Amino acid sequence: MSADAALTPSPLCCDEVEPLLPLVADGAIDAAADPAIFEHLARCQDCQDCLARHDLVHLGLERGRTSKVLTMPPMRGWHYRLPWPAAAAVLSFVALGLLLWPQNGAPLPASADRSSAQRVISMPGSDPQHPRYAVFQGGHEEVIDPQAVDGAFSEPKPVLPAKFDVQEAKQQIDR
Amino acid sequence: MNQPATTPPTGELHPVRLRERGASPELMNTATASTVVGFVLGTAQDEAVALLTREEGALRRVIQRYVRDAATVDDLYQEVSLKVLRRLDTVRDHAAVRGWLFQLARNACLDYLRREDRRQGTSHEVLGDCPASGELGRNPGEQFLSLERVAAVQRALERLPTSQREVIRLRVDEELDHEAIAARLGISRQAVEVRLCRGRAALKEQLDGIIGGEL
Repeated sequence: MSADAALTPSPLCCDEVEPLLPLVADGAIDAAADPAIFEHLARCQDCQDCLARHDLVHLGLERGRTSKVLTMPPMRGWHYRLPWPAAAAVLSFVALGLLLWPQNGAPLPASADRSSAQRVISMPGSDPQHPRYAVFQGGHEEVIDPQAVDGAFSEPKPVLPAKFDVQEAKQQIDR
Repeated sequence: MNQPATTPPTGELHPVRLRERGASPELMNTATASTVVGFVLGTAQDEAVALLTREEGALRRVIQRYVRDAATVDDLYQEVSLKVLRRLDTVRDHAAVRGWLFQLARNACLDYLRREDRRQGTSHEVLGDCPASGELGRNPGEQFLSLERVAAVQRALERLPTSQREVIRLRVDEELDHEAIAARLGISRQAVEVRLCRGRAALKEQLDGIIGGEL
């Protein structure tokens, strides 16, 4: 027997292939593992049809797994049985935190949470050739001079002393 | 770079992918499978092109078992064509190349349906509401994945014998291979495969009434 003949898959019939189609849909059998099955599938419309149905069932099983994850019941605990007291407590803590938060003019600490909402505006009256920007974040303000960071506005860097006053900043800009 | 095909096959390709790859308007107007492939890879690759020319009809029929939208069929056929061009030299047994092509086409369809499933997102969307696309009508794979049908699959799964159901659940839900399932249940790998085969066959038989008219 020649090498090519030894490698050539023996032709199979539908009765031999059909019982194995669930394992093909399962992914346990592929063309590399069993080329004869796939050679038959490439030629047989009935077995292709049967395999497609198995595949759709498998996709439905996979989708059912996803649906179970998405429709899992919410975690239960004391806060679920008494939602409104928990909500009231949370709101109270938030309000207290806002009241105790540093007022305007306080220096922006180096470890400030920059993930809170940030607003950047162009300083009114600044030189169009040398624009400056005010960055407002978490109740703090910074005036940024892009040219003070080598012309790249990539990393906000205050150009004023750590303790700054907005009015003083505006005066410096206006000079 | 753009070597013309020696024997352009029939049929046209969806222009979107050509545009994405920067094809000229002239190329797009006359695009066929082998022309596009030649454009993308910059070489004729006569053997692969000849193979695709010969098998194009069969490959499209395989794709149409899972997807019926014409544009999607074209896109998937193009994906398969590119894979053939890239990987044909890895096929050692050329007598088995048709089976390899079938597997490529089937895998492309299954990957597409899974992507569509993820893209269309939450369990609250009903994929079966996809509008029919012209005379080719509904998309069997997409319709089957509607919530109603997924629920039918789960009900059918519940009706299976415990031994078959638990094997399928371990395979699908926990994505264990057959060896791991055998170890978990304390049975042989062969027993796992027998239960999987019987369970899946029973599910298909129960659900044939739902998917029977779809294919």
